[in-house]
Amino acid sequence: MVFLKNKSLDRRAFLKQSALAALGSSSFSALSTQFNLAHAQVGGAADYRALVCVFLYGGNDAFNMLVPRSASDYNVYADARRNLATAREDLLALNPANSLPADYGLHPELTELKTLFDAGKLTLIGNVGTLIEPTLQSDFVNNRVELPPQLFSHNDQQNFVMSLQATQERQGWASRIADLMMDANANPDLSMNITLSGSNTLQAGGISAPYALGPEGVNDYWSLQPGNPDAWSVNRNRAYDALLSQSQTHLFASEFARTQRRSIDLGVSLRRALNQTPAPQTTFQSGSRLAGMLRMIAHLISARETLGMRRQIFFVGIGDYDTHGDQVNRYPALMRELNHALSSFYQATVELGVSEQVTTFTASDFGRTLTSNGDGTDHGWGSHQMVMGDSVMGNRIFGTMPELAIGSNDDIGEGRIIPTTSIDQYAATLARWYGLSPSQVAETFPSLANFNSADLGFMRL
Amino acid sequence: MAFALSQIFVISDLSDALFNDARGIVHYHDLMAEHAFGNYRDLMKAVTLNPMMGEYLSMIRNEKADIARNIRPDENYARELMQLFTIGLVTLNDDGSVKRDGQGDPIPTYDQDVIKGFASVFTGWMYANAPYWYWGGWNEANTIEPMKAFEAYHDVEAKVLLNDEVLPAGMTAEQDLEAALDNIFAHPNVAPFVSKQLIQRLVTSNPLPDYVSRVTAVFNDNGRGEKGDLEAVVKAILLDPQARRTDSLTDEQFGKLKEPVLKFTSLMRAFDVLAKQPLNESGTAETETIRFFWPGYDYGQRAYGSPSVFNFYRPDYAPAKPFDNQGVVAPEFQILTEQNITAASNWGGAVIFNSYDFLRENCEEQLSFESGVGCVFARFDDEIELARDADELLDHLNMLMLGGQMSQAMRDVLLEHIEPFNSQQEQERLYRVAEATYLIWMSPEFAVQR
Repeated sequence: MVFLKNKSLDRRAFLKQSALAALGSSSFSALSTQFNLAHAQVGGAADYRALVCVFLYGGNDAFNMLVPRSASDYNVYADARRNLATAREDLLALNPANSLPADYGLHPELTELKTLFDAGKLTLIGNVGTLIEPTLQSDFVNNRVELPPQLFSHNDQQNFVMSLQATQERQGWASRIADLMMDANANPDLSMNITLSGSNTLQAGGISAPYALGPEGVNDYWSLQPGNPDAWSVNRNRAYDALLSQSQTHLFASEFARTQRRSIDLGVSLRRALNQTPAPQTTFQSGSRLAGMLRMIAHLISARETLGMRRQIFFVGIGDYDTHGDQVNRYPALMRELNHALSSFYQATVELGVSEQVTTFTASDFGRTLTSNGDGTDHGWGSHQMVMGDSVMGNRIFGTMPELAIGSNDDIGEGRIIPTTSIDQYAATLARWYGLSPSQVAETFPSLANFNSADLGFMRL
Repeated sequence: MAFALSQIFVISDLSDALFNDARGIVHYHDLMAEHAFGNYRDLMKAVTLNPMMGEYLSMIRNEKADIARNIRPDENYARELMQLFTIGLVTLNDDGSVKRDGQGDPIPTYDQDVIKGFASVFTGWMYANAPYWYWGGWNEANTIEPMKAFEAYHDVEAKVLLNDEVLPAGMTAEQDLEAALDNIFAHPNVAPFVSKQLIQRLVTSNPLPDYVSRVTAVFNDNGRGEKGDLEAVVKAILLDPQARRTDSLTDEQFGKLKEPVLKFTSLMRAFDVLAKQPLNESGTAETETIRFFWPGYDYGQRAYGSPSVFNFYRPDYAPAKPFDNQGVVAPEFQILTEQNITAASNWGGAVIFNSYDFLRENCEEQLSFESGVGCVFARFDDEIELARDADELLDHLNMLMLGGQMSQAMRDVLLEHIEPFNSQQEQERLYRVAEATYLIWMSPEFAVQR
């Protein structure tokens, strides 16, 4: 279990004040480096946990990622999917440790992930989706349940999956976790939340904004080069520093100055940390953006002690999962990239000795219709997810697998499947492993109380 | 205006669907420019039948339901046309605010039956030069001409549209399309939905409700009984009292964060930024063109390169709690991440400091005919003369870059920084110009348009 000093209020007040002072001095990061050194002697190096969210933007058609293999169940699937069905003989047969009413297989491109599943390093959660309370077909038809706002709309469903809040005030659940646990990290400057794919609701809205960098790492400011002792750089930085320090009456100007300052200061310390730490040797597929982003995450994790981080939440997003057209060609390509990138990342965590401390999970806008629109699928609801790492209860399929017959009790039309497990339950199980107490979990996921289980049991605590 | 419209009717080559379709995408931009001051209803039709939009939102090749194959029409274009291009998800008041029912809940503009109705409308369209429906001639596909109808693949059943209007069975693809676009265009949401977003793109992130109402009124009627006259709408947006009144200059929330592309274009306009580009392999001939260099360098925004049809940012984005609590939105902050702000800073810095001979020579060494890489730099010929007097230079840059709004505190910093350069030497005067230009371009005051 994680031991946290109960000082979060003081820390929050401190950070707020710092933010209000618009981070007026660039000595802030120098200060934090000293902080790290002091911390390194106190905290145990082994106490580290990270969550890595791989967001499949557009709505992953997971009903083609995990497919029934038993003859009768496969026929039901194939009848619903028609020209989009994956051939039965191509499926990678799974033999999960838990018993299920049918046999299942993985998409033929997921060869490496199948090996990880067999080895107990990967688990599958069936038919997860956005819910506020348990929902049956009859409830849905008769308007008897509260539903997440704007089902089937990309951005609304992304926001709901990432915030698990139906209100206008949107704070991501990873941001809420960070607000509760910021004491875990010695470094007060670098956010617990790091994104390789820019702004996202999951990490936004809290006390500390997520830090964003790209797969190539942190760019230097070529025309400022902070730290360069040459006169031009010293003078230019001095003048620019003076401009950023001026009080701005305009809300946007002061927020711009704050972001620019944070970017310059953190850029210096992060670049230093990454330069001091060798990148993992594990080979990642070249030409894959997802692989590049996960590789950079592995590099950041290897620099965790230099950076003073013991709890981190990373975000990567990858697009093109909105397979309305040409799905027969596009989906296998998506699965191929996912297979290589995730398995390489797992190998990198083994190389770094943190495979038990890093848990990677997938999420997406929604699932897709079982029925075909001719050459693709449209926006659906429930979907399957994957969780990977040595702390997962691998080689299992959790949750309740849905009926795949069109017009079944799980279908609300065209094969839009009602989720049987909520994203709140999925996220809460991950959050509990990450270090939230049961009461913090309840506070973080307000709809969780509506479901019979707050922990799906797929993580080893 | 064309760029603003491109952020409503979004297509992007980041999607597989439009990868390598440069010609079609460039033409799509021409379409935005051509209709920028035309009628919104005409633009809706032009976009709907454009083959690039057809590919992007998979309306092309969308065919009628076929029970034997268990297929039904593709809902993609139907959904996004309504959600993003015309009416949005919930019913709006004329001032752009959300209408609420008796329980205080928003009122949805459409349901799944309406989506299905429009999905059926948009069936039967294919490339203008497709000889037959299942044509796979990718390389020869006409990415410019409007798509053409193949009636055999068009759904002729009756269709439910907005406001319970039902299209009768048996209409042609073209008839259905016209009637369906009329049905959407008649919806009272179109005017406030589009007007508010155009105000956000052109003037301010947080227009007062009255401002939106005034523009909505012009959108609904240009004074001659015509709805959707964009020329009248733009005029109403730019000449509105809230856009012009002087106290907007001191309003803490008026205006917008400048997006990266507009920051670049303002630099290019102010200082004749052109790229030198070789025209032959020996480098004996070269031309000067307007171009964004490093198109792949990620600063969070590239025209027709957004991550999805939801554009670069949401119209209701606010960066953090201080913003939320004030009910203020600032969409452009969604792409102002540490990574993007660094990349954008480097872009501007390179353009400005490439004006130094020794840096430009470096840059010109990398010119190559094959790679098509140009060397982009600012031209400060006029400014170098003005720089004999630091005050005169700052007056000029203040007017050119900040519309005369530079604060005294900022001016003091700039003056102190550039005065030590020797005004008697041309090279040092260039230093004065480039240093001041860079610092202004990077400043919090320049970051906001107001």
